[in-house]
Amino acid sequence: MFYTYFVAFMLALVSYTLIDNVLLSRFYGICSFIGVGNKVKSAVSMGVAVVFVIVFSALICYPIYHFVLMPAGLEFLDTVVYILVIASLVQIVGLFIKKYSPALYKSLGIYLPLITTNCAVLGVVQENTFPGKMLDFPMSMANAFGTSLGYLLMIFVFACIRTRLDTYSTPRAFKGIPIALLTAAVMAMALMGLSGIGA
Amino acid sequence: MDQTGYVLLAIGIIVLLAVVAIVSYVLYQKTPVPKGCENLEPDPGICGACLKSGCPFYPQYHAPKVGADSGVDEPKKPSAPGDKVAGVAPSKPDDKGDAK
Amino acid sequence: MDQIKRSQHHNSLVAGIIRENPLFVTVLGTCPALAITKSLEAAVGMGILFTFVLICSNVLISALRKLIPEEVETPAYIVVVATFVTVVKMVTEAFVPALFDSLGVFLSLLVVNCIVLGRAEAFANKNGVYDSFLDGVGNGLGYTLALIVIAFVREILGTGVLSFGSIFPFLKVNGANVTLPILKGNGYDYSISLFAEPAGAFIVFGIMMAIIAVIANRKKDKEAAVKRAAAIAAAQKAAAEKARQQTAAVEGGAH
Repeated sequence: MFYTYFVAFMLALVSYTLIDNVLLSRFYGICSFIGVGNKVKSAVSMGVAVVFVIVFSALICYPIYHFVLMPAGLEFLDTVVYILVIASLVQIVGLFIKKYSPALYKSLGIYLPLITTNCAVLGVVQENTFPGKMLDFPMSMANAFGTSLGYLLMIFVFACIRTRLDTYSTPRAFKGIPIALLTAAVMAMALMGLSGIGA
Repeated sequence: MDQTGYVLLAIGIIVLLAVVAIVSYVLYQKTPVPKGCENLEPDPGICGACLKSGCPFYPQYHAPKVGADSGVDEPKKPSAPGDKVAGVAPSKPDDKGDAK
Repeated sequence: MDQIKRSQHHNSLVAGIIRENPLFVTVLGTCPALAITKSLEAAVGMGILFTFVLICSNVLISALRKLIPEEVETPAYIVVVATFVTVVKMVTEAFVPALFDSLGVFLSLLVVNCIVLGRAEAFANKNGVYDSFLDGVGNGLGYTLALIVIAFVREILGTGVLSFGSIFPFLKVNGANVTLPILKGNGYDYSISLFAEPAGAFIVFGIMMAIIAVIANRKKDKEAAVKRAAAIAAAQKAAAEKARQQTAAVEGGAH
């Protein structure tokens, strides 16, 4: 019984990470993905910060929705509550990082205010409690983990590709954002081939 | 707990979250940056899409700039996509007339 | 004085539509632009809702701009936008449930949409209510146009037909959807289903940005050529001046 559920959890994890990838299939968090330059280290730090924020926000928001908002009949307040939770979480974590860990601030701390308004965080949390397609708690945690790992993986791959892309001479009209979008298109096509696993 | 109880609990949680958010926001803005981290430069592409004027790195990426980093889209000056045919600005007529 | 004010109003209205189109020029708000544009109707619906949220938040933030202290600007704006988005969500779920289902999470994501927050911080907290209203109208219109362009290409190439009526029921004719067969009809099917997939969204958007870069580059080259010609002409003029002065000095010395 636990075994089948564990298998289901792992399949969901893989599905949310690769097949229904947050950046290339569900299109959350694209704004900061397109402009990623060729600095792999800053891309990876951004990804790790996103992992923290998404997992902990989902952990906090799901119980609030199910044990407080739903019994109270106030489901329409979910957006406001989620924003407050995400903002407080990011600010408290940022406070701790600023005070106690300059090393972490140097790598993650600068991206924390950006993640507050990242579509990926709010998107995952809203997906977990979308009316009509609501997930139960283990699946929503699989969504949170899978989404953030997928984000980290894709932003890392994209930054690596960009370092090679800069050494090639692209046509003048395609320099910068257009070639980045076409690269993302090819990455999305690669992931298309995985659809159907564990669906 | 009946419904009014849950409604009061929900309102209480929202107020608590609002207070925590505001207090932590003010504290976050007021704590100084740790030593050695004054001259950090975040990746311009990642932070370019963010428009929070409260962020300390904001002016670097939204002041009118002349050059552009590699791998980052150049700040596009006013262009007119509309029809693909029209979209050419009228050239300045007076400059060539003066210099003879 | 009146003329200046009118042109300023006119400027805030028109700037957002083409010249500073929020999607194509300052690449913002790309998340819905890639996800919602699978069908033309959904794109139009999203554009209308986006414009409404943008106008309302611009007006309210501009009205409150003297009351909000500078330290708590960003959270205050987010709360304002969140209330409007909640209202829009409830109204959409009640009156146009098909649109609510097809937009999904992206309706809630309007709260953290880069354009809405960006216009609030860049424009609404410095300008009057009427200007902010016009700015909201202009930017909303520009974003809707951009969405329509992408959705038009994607739907025609991806599914081959333009179908109306599944989201806005008043467009149905005799109770059935209106489908305009373009690339796919009775007995022929030339649609490329890649464009209905996420990869196709990236391709269409990338090529649109490249087309706009071509137009912008052409304009930039023209301006650079004009400037260069002016610089060469000025240099020639200076050289001619110098030669004339030298001959005058020689003649003066010869006498």
